[in-house]
Amino acid sequence: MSQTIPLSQPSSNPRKIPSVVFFEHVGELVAQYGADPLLKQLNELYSKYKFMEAQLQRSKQVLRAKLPDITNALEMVEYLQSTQEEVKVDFQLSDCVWTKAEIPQTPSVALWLGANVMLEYPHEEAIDLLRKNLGNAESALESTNEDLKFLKEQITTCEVNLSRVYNYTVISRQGK
Amino acid sequence: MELESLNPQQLSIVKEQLDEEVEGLTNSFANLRHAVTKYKASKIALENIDQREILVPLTASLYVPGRIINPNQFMVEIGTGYYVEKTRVQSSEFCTRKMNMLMENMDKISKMINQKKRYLDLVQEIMRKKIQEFQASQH
Repeated sequence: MSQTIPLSQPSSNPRKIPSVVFFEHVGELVAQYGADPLLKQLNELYSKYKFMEAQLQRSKQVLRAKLPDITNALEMVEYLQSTQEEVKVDFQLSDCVWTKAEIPQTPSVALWLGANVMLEYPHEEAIDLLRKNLGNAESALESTNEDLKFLKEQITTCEVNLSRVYNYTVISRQGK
Repeated sequence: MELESLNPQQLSIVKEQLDEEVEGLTNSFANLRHAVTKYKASKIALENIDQREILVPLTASLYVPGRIINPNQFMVEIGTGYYVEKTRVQSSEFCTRKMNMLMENMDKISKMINQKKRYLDLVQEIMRKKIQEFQASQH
């Protein structure tokens, strides 16, 4: 018979990631649930946490790459708004070819929003949008980092639980 | 290398080595092909440039309407961080030369890959023979 062993509990994490219950009395738990079911469910929980950690690492990299791009776009729009004359730029035509272009005074810029969508915005609105995106990306990065720290603690607790249960079974087998 | 004289364990080590080499070479081949595609795209872009109004990319997500100042003047990256000003014709020739060089290398690598694959087949054949001999000698 398999029962769900209480291995995790709700935590104070803002993203509602459950925290791992630390096994105070390994002997009692082994007696109550059996060593094998304990180890099996602990291992499952452990791999779930590891999987989540890998996911967060990936999204952290994506966010890290996006941040400089948004910052640069914001600076450019602010510069375009402030300048009164034509701007001459070197821009990348393709991977290894650059060329010069001149940008006349325009009231609006075009922002690529992703998914084949590009919208034209007047300078002010573009700056607002970019600032908002920058803020979102920064706070997403912060919460991802926070979650990663939290996950590391849970993974360590899980590992400790696993080794304690395993050692207990080894010792009790030797005792027999 | 005298393949016939090696026993099955040594042969399987040789096979693993060959597998790794083939994988490495195939990766290089894919990278070269990727680079060739990029130069091809550059050439097409060069040909389509004229004085019309375009959307100039200032960053990956920011575009502004503008005009190319001189449709005959381009800067080409000839090495990491080294840029040279060239005319349209010169830039196109540069891209063609680079593409040809890369395609030559691609040919060389694909020859090497085929050679290694043939060697690999040989090794596997000899392994199979050895195992059969071994099993036959057991009966």
